[in-house]
Amino acid sequence: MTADPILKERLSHAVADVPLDVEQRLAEIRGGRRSPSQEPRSRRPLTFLVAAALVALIGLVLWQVRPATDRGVADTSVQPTGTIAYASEVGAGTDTFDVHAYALETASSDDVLVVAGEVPDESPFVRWSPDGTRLAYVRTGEHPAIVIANADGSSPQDVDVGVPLEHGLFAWSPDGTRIAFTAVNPDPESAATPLAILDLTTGDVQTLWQTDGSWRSFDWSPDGTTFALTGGPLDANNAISGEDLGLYVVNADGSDFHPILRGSTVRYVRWSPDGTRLAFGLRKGDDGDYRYDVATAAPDGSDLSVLTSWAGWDNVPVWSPDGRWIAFSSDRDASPEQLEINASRADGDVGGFGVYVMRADGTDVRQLVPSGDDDVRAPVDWRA
Amino acid sequence: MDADATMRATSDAGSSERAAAGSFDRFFRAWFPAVARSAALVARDRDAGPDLAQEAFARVYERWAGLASVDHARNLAFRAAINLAKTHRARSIRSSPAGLDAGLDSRRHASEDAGADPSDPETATTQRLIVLDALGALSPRQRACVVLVDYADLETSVAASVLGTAEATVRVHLRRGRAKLRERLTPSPEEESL
Repeated sequence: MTADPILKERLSHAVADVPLDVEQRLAEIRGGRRSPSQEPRSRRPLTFLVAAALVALIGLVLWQVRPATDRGVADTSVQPTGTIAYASEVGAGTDTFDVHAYALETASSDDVLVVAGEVPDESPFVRWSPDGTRLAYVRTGEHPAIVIANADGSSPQDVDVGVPLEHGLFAWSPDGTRIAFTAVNPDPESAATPLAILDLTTGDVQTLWQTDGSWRSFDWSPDGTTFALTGGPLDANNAISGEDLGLYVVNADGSDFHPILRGSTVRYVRWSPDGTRLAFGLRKGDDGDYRYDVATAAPDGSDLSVLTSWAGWDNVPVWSPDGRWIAFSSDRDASPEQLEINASRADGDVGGFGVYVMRADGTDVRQLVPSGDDDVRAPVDWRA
Repeated sequence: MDADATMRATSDAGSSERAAAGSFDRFFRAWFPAVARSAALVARDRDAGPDLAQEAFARVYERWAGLASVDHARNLAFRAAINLAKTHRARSIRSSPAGLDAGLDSRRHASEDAGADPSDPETATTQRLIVLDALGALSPRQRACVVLVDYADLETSVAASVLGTAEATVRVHLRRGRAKLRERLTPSPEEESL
């Protein structure tokens, strides 16, 4: 794509006579002087100290007025660390996402991991391998494939799985030798998307036909024995009845498939690193697919704990590697106008979704990556 | 444009050229004009462009000995200048919400009344302000992509390297940014009939 000559002329004309003082500026740089617009260095420490004091004061005030909770006392000395991968819509309504890496220690998020347009908007998930050396995503569309790249997104390689892919949902096995994904039932009459497992060393694919339903998310347990899935089995009309909708588990060999939470719309399930909890988005109310809370439960569906209570979208939870924190997507800081649009899903112009983090008990919610009204952002993975 | 020729010649020669200490002056003279004016366009502030670029080049100078190539240095200079311009723009909006837009309407009408003679200094100034105003309709990323490709003549792959994003992302922003810019710069039928 080359320059547009008409725009080039207009842009060039707009700045053609900007005085540059090239030689003077070069001399200043060689003499160690920065631009005149930069603050004198002698003022910087004072400015920094004032800013730091203000931040500390604001932090103290916010800490004092935080909502009370009865969920127990969190270990406040532990702070979230590592790097969170989050998906960010390229432009409103473009249906394509970048995936960025947000480094918690430096609060920076400059790096883009994955090519935009290759990550489907329905489930723009990118996940690092358990050893952190690779990342994978599923490219759907005209040339679907599982793509495995270096941990920074470089050198992507397509992996031919030999069967149609669906949704972009996948999970690494804990030992990094296999990838489970949602496949397409080859029966053209079926809308089912059963789980399949690709052995990366042999290329063999095993389909778990026991899971021949419609799944919106799933995850592989840390001990490798079990899958948790959200969605439900299909009836004769290729639909999920309301009572069948929910959270399911199945052994990794396809046996013992059964629901653990029925009659609820559940999305974006993730297993905690120690395998003792499942985190997911739990829909509340019946006014469309919008109002969700982040919740956790034991792997048998017991001990359900709803962690958030925002009136809009709190969803897409992702555990920290140490299991103490949960990142999630929320529109809690969107403008009132944008919240109305989100609630009505008007024209697909939803936005105002940022990335947040909270302790695993639901306390200490913090905004990590803010969002403009045009933006849709959600965490997709977290590594140490 | 002379700067264009210099830029292209330097880019052609620079891909395999090591960014040695002695060549910084040549690199600076070749690229400072384009980086400064790009920063002015992204910041929508003609006066700020050279200062922002000087700061960007100062950062390049500090790292000059360790840079692998002139292309690398060029990308770094553009990236730093663009990021500084975005920050400058955000600060400008906070400190002066009306900013550039103030008075533009009256200038636009005065220009129309004067018959839009392009040689008239007032008309030329108004036209420049109209372009900077139109750039405000673009998101910062769209603006950066349009400026880097349509003003600075960078390939989309190079713009992607500058912005630290994928080429496909640049193309998406470029397409949308150009559409918005054309829409803002093209007179409506009512305006043309005046």
